[in-house]
Amino acid sequence: MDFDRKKLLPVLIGIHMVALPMYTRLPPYVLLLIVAFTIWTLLIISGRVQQPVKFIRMLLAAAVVMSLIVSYGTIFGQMPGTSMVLMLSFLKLFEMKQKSDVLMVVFLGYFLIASNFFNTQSPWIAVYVFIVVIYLTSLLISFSDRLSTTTIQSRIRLSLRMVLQAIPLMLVLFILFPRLSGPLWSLPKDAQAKLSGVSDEMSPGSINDLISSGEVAFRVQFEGKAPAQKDLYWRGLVLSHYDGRTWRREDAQAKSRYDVVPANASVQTIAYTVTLEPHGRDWLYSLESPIAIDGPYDLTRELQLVAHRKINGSIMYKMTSNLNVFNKALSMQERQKNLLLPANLNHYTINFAKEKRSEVDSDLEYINSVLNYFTTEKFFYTLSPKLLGENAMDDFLFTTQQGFCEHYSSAFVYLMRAAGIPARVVVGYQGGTMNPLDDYMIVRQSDAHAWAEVWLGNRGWTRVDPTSAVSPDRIEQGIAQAGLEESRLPSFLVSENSFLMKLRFQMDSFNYNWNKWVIGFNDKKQRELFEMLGFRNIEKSKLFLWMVIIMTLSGALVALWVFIAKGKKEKEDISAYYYGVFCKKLAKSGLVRAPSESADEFLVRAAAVLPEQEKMMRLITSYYHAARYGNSQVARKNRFISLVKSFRGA
Amino acid sequence: MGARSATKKFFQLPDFSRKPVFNFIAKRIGPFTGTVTLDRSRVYILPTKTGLMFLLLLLLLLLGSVNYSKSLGYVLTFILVGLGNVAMFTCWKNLAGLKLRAGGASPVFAGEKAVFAVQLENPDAQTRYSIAIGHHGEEFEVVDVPSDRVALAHFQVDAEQRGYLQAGRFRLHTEFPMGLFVAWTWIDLSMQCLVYPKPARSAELAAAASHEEGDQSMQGAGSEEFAGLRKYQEGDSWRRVAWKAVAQSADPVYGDLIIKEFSGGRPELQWIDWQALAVAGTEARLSAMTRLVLEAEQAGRHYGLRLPGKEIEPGHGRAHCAQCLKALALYGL
Repeated sequence: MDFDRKKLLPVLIGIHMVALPMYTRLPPYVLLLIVAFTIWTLLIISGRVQQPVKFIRMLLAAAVVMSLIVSYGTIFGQMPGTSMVLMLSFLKLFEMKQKSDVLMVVFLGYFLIASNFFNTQSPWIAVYVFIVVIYLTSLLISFSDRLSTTTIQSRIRLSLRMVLQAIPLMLVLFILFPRLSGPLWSLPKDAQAKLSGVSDEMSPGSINDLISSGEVAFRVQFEGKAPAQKDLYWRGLVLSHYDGRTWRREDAQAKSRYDVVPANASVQTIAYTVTLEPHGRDWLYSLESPIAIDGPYDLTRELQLVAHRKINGSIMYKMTSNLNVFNKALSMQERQKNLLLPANLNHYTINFAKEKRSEVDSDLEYINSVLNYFTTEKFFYTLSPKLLGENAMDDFLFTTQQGFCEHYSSAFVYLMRAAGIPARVVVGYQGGTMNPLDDYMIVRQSDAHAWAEVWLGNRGWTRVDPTSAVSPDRIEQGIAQAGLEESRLPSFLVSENSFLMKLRFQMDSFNYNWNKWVIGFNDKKQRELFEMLGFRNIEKSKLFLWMVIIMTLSGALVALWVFIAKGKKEKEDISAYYYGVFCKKLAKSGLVRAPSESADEFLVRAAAVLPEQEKMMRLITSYYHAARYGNSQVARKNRFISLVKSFRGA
Repeated sequence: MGARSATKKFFQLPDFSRKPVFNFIAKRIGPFTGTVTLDRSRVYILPTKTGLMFLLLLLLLLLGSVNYSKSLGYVLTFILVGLGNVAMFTCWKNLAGLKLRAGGASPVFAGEKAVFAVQLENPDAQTRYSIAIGHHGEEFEVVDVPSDRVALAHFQVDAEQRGYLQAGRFRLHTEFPMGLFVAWTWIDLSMQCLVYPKPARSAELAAAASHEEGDQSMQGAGSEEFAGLRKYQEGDSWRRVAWKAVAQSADPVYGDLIIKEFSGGRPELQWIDWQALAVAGTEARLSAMTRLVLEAEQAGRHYGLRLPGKEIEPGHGRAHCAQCLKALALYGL
């Protein structure tokens, strides 16, 4: 079968539609090849060049592999694999000879479009994929329309209708298809895109970068009232190792489990559910102090919540915290660890600390005097602090005196340790914004924060936030109210007019529910859903059975409905039917055909009433006779129907 | 509406109806007379090769979604599963509900191909696209049937011998809309086509020619008297067209041909007689007579036919010719 090269154009458009969301992620060589392939295909379509011969195609395939090896160093893995399939689809256009080649490209398109979900599963990509599926399906339609009589609009319409009709079955399958809790085979390393969030180390500037990000870190739904802003310290990671520049977490931490402090019936107990966005790390966030967790997570001695693997997909967990419970875990080893300072650095600071400590009687008083120092001296809270030298603490405390939460917490812990008080840095988020439309709290990357914990003998680990001494508003009202120069704040933190604000909350609310119900629909969620419906502990095999039963029943129902609808619509003879339509049109002008009246008799009567229509009615009647009783010629029958359709009546 | 495609072999499904076990299928296939509605018991459906490829794609997508636990992967996979289902149903509906009637077949000569027409009537609001018709594993034509319209679809059958040729079962099939499924039906509408004997070659005929000289000899043109002009009628000889008069008329189309009429002379008359032919064998004789009829008709002569036990009075024109040929076709059957 000779292939019409003009038909390549819609297929080319289809491949580009599939590839569009990937363009930003594809390396330059691959993009270059795609541009070259596109131009080449356009030349083939316009008839200026022939489809390349097999030898050239093999060379091109080699070029594809080369471009991947140059760009990625390998042809395996998610991105190289996707790029390869994409480019091979372009190559397929060069050897397109028959229908089956086109089908191959369309099927590859269906497959490739799914690879976008590695990168994002946002509602936008979902809508886009929906559109692409409709387009690809319309391509399939155009290739099974053997006479090419359908128009592009009618194909798109049919495709849209079919995809919409597919949605009920999709929903049934989506809800009932048994989900597995883990992967079938190990995932390639690059299966996940780069994610943002608090990192496992803190050096000057690391949190600063997060402040300008409006991305959501997690969302929280409280059972009951949300605590006050000043109590919203979302603990993430404890950093106790300092090398003079960077705070790091201890490697061994995750392994030492900590028995959760038994919950006493305190009024301060807060229950909440966190929907955590993927951040590619293994820790979770909780309010101080976590006392009960629902899920396969460990609580370390430092009260860090740690998952068994990296959070690469949105997860949801239930927590209970008690704001008044203190962590009293401190072994000798831990005491030593939390007193360590890098040697031969920051002599001024160490002397300053010792001096201050000797002036007061207790550790508590010393803490207050340090906080007082931050308040009385000209410390300045800013997002763009001056750079610090080798003796970072000396520079910060006595020279620049300006910085951000990481500077304050870091300096504070340093001063504590220098005075012999065990202390450590905690990073996480502080605050959050309630979404007034949907009663949950949004915690953004811009809420990232660092504070300190000191060991007070009689209380245990006690939170101290030195930043609040410098800029109390940061803690009381959140970052947007911290009294910073507005121009330095990213636009989303600047107070906006209420309409935009509302719109943003609405969008976030949608995102939240999308993540909760669509993206986060896993085996656990599935179980929850069935428990909600009253099916407890439903087995996977049963679920499968239910899926089959519901599908069969609904299929039977649809079939039944179709046959019933068909039975009603049954028209014994098309000519008789259209003669009926003609009579109905006349009935509007008062001419009702008697059941016993023949078509000719009726014509005579009608002609008397509507003489100006007589010619037309005579024509219709004679065509009716011919179509109904004559040696029914196709053209005559069709002409009869057209006449009736165009007949206006009176 | 229908473009005749190059004859193409399509994937042929086992012909169940030939086996007695499948008599119940034969009941659905016919032969029928009058209008046959393709109801659900007559339309079969199976996935095509493309459909199986699609299934493979779905499995791959499902595997990927499970392994990477991508919810939107599941959504895409399941929407394609749904789409496949809808495609199956739509494909089935593209054929089911269609009404079929025999559309007739023009007589042919033995050795030619008989073309049968089938009327496809679409009583529904949606156009039915790309319905192919075929016979004995060969596809002949693809047609669209618009909503509330009737379309003609044709298929060919080799006409091997004279007499009535039964069309037998033919096959309608469609892969619309997505090519993932093929829906088909076998139907016998008791259509038949009259097959005339194969005309003998003129050369063979010359040897056996036996114009009965005398009463059927041609009259010389000169002996006739020109009587006037009249309009062309079917069966008139082209030799008598008054070309000058035609050229002068305003609109020289076929219907306006003008014929010279002669009087005085007797019309050319020829008897084509079974007995008078010196040809051995019934079929050879019939072939020869067929050729004679055709030649006489073409020459514009008046001719009659004599067969054992049957005689057709001399005449001319298309209807007369058809009558003679039919008598030859059905002789002895």
